[in-house]
Amino acid sequence: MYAVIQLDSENHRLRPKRVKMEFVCKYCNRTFNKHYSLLIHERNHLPTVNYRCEMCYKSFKRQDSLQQHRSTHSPNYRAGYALQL
Amino acid sequence: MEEQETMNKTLPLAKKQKINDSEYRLVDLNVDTISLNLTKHCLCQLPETCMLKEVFRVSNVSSWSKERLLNFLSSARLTCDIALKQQSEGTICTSVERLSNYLISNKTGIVNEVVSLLTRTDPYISYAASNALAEIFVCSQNKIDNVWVEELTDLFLRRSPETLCPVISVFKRVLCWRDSQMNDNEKNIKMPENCVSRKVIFEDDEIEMDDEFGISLVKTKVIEVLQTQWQLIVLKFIRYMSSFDHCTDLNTEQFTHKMGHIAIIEFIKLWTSMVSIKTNLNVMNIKYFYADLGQMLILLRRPKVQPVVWKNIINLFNESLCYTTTLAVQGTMQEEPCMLARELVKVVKTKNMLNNMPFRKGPGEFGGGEEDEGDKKLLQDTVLLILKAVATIIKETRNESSSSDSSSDESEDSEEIDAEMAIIESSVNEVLRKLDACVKKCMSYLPETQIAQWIVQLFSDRNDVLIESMICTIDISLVLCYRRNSLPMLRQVLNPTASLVEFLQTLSYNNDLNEIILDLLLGSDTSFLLYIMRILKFICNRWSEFCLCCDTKLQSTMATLMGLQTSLDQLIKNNLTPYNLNPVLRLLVKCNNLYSGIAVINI
Repeated sequence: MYAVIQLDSENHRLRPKRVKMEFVCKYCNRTFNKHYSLLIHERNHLPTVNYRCEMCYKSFKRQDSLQQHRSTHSPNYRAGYALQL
Repeated sequence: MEEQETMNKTLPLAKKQKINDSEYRLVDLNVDTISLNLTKHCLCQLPETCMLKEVFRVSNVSSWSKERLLNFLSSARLTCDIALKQQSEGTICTSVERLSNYLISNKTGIVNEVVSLLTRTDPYISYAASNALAEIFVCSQNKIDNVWVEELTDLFLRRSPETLCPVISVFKRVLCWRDSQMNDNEKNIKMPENCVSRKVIFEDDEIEMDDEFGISLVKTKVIEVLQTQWQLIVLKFIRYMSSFDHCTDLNTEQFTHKMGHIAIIEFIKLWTSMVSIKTNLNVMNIKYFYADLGQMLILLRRPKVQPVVWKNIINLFNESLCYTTTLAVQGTMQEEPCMLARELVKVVKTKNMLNNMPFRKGPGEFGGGEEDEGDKKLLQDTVLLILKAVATIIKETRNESSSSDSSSDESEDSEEIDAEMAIIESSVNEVLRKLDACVKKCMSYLPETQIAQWIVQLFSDRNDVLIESMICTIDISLVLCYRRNSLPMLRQVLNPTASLVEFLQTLSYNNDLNEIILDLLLGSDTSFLLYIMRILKFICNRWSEFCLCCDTKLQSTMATLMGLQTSLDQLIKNNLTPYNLNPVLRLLVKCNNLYSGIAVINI
C-alpha cells in the first residue's frame, strides 16, 4: 500500500482545501480515497488464512481459536481431563 | 553402461536430424532416470551415463511415438514444477536449476514444438503439452520469449474452437497461477543431505514484493500479447455460439460439437478469471477485457442459450461487477463496470432477460436443474448480479453528484440530480418489481415477503453471496429511500434492518452465534467487514427507525452486538486480530451507547 498526495491545481491558491489522498492497491493498482477502504479491498486479494496447530495439524479460522485449542495439548489439561474421568 | 557412455560422447543428439534406435533408448533412459530422481527433489546424484544437458536438447519430437512423447512432456512439467517449488521455498538444487534452465533456453526450439503439440488430435498428448507449457511459461519468468506467447495467441485466433481447450487451459493456468499454487502440505520439501543446493536471492526487490518469485512478469507479458487479439477472439466465439442456437439436446450432439461446447465454457471461464479480483492482475492490463462484455450480454437475450453457457456468462458478469470488493469502497469508479451495470439494468427492464433464464430447462447435469427443484445457484447468481448492477448505477450517480462543483449553481445542480435520481428510482423500482416476481415464481415464497427478507432465505446456503446482496440492498436503500420525494414503498422493500434481523435469526439456529460472526469478520472469504461497517453506520444514523423496525427482536439483536463488542475488545487487547478492527469496535460502542440510553429511559 502506498499513498499519493494530489493537489487541486485550480483551487488550492484561492482557499485552503483538504488535501486529497489516494491509496493504491499493491496487487491491482486500483485507487481508493480512504485507507480503510483500501484495507477492505485488499483483503479480497489475499488467500484464505488458516491457523494450524503445530502438534496435531488441526486448522482454525481464527488465531484465538488456535490458542484455545493449544491448551488441550498441555499436560495440565490432560491431568484435569483424567481427574474428571 | 560403457556402451551407452561412449554413445553419449560420439552422438550429440541435438545435432542429428535422424535418431536411430539406440539413441532413442538413450533419450528414454535419460528421461526415466531424471524423472525418478526428480521425485526425490535432487539431481545431484545422477549416474554418470545420464547427461543432464542432453535431456531437453532434442528436436522433431512431433515424430515420436505417443508413449515417448507423453513421457518427455511429463518430465518437462515435473522439472519446472520441482524448480518452482524449490524456488518458492528459497533453496534450489543446482542440478534441478540447470536442467530447468536448459529447457527454458530453448536451444533446439523445443518449447515451440510443445506449442504446436497443443493442436494434436490425441487428447492425451494435447493435455500433457498444455500442462507442460503452462509450467514452462511460469518457470521461465523474465526469460519468457514473446514468440511463444504470440504462437499460442495465434492458435487461439486461428484454430477452430473444438480444438482450443488445451490452448485456453495454458492461458488459464498461467494467469491464475497464484490460485493453483501448492498448498501447505506440499511445501517444506526435504532435499537429500548430500544435495548441492543454493539459496534463492531475488535480484529485484520489486519482483519479490509484487509476487513471490516474479510470476507477475510472465502474467503481464501473456496479458499484453493476448489483449491485442482479444476482440477478434471474442467475435470468433460469439459467431461460433450462434451456431448452437439450433442444438437443444447435448446428448445427441456430435463429438466435435461437444468439444466446441466445452471450449465455449472454458473460454468464458478464462475471461472470468482474467477480470476476477482474486487473480491479482493489474487493473490497467485488464481494461481491454472489459470492453467486449456487452457482446456477451446480447447472448442472454436469446431464448435458446444453453443453461450452462448462461450460468457461465452470469458468473463472468458477477466477477466483472466487483461491487462489494472494489466499487462500493472506491471514490472514483472505473467506467467499464459502470457501463456494464447500465446495460444489464436496461436488458432486465426492457428486454425481459429474466424470462429467458433457464431455471427449469435442460438436463440437471448440464445446468438448468431438475424439473421440480430448478437451478437455485443460477437464480442466486442472477439475483446477485442484478442487485450489484443497480447498486453500481446508484453509486455512480451519487458520486457524480458529490464530485460536481457545489460553489456555483448549487440549487440548480441539486434539482438536476434530484430529477436524475427520480428517473433512476423509477427504473430501479421496475427492475426490482420484475426481480421480485421472478424469484417468487421460482421459489414459491409468500407474496408478502419483501426483497430484504427473501434475500436471506434465498442465499442462506451461501454466506459470501448473502453478505454481498445485503451490502447492495443497504447501498441502494440509503441513496434512494432517504432522498426527498422518494417512493415510500421502496423503504419497506429494501429495509436493511429487516435483512439484519432475518440474518441473525438464521444464524441463531447454530450453537454459538458469536463464534460464527467472529469467523465471518476475521476470515477473508466474505465481505462481512464491509457489511458490518455499513449496517452499524446505518443503525447509528437511524437509531429510532432501527428500534421501530426491530420491534420484539431489538433485545436479541443488541445482545448479539454487545457480545461481539466484548469479544472484539478482548481480541484487540490481546493483539489477536489479523487487521485493524478498531473502526468496527468504535461503531459497536456507539450503537451500544445508544441502546444503553434507551435502556436507562425504560427503567
